[in-house]
Amino acid sequence: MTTFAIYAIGAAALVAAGVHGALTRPHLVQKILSMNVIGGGVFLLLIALAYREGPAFADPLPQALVLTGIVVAVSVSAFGVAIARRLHARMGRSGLTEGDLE
Amino acid sequence: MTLEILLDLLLMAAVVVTAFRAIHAREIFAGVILYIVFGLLLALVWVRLEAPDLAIAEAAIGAGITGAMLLDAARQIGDGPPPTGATRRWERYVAAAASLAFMAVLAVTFVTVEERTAELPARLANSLGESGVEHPVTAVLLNYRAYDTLLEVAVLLAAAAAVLSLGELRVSGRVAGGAPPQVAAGATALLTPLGVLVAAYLLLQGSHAPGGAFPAGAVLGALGVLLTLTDNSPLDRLRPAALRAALAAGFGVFIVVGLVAMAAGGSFLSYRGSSAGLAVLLIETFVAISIGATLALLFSVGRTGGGDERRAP
Repeated sequence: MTTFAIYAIGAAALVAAGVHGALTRPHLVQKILSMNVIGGGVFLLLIALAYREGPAFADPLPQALVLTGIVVAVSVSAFGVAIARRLHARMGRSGLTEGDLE
Repeated sequence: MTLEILLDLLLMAAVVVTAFRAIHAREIFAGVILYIVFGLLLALVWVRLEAPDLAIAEAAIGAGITGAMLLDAARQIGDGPPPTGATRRWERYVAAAASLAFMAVLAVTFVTVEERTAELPARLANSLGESGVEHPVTAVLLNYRAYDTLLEVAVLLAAAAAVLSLGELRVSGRVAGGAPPQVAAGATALLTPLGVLVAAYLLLQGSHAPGGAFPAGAVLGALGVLLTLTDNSPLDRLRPAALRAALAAGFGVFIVVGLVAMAAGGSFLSYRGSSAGLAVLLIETFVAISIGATLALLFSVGRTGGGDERRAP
């Protein structure tokens, strides 16, 4: 088992765990958290691929892309948190119920 | 070699287990704490995979700022009422089985990605001299793919605008009433000048080593969060116009530099050769300030004292 295989499988586990959490956890903070875990999995795959091409000469392009991705992820999380706070302030609820989706 | 593989296995297992526990924690607050642990472990993975720039950004932004934001939201929102429609047992089994199958498909796909030799690193190494910086990641971020970074700065600005339109800016740290804790206030007073120094160092170091505008901005943003929590927010002292200028400075300077490069005979954002170093430094300085201000703002907007503003629907 190579280093790349370990981190690639780990990336798959993170994405799947995140999707599962985003779909099944009711609390909005947990949904935002799950979304960040999905992002972590995607970043991990990109960096594991860059690492495989040669540790001595790691590809800087995926690194720059992931650096961008981390900042975009925090922006999206902040927007999500703002919406969750607004929902809680107006409705006193921490998540969505079935009626909200209609 | 075997020891390395063993360490990889342990690290990866720790990351996946913490992520899973974070998502499924019974209390939201505990889940967010586990998420911060997850972010710090992920930073270790970046170090292991030879990506130190990411490790700094992950620890400061992924674990730090996102963690602080989610902690504050979890404190304010609380665990909330239990969901009304109780999920049946078979539904949970189906969801778990589907997720495991999804993971298996993803794992097979990821592991069998064809190995190929990327040509870009070699080309980049050969032309690094004209980019104005010596660190390849900074060269990609602020020169060769400056367009991506410009749009990323735009995303941050858009997030600040969206968040501001949803909640009022409330920079006071006192959410539970009472004075801020003395120890935290004293430590923050000591940390602030040090933090500004570290940010400036990271900014300048980015030209030849891991660092640059993003880690520097993240450190500034973290300082802003600390100052907000101890009732000393720098955003509080700025007039609205000055605050908006701080938020938009990075985006604005980026565009101006791009247009100057265009006027000098190139195309938008194409600066190469002797003036490139100055262009990159100019952009990085203002982008770092804007990132710091935006991150601090994203944390501060909409903070309230835990459910006391609740209104009937």
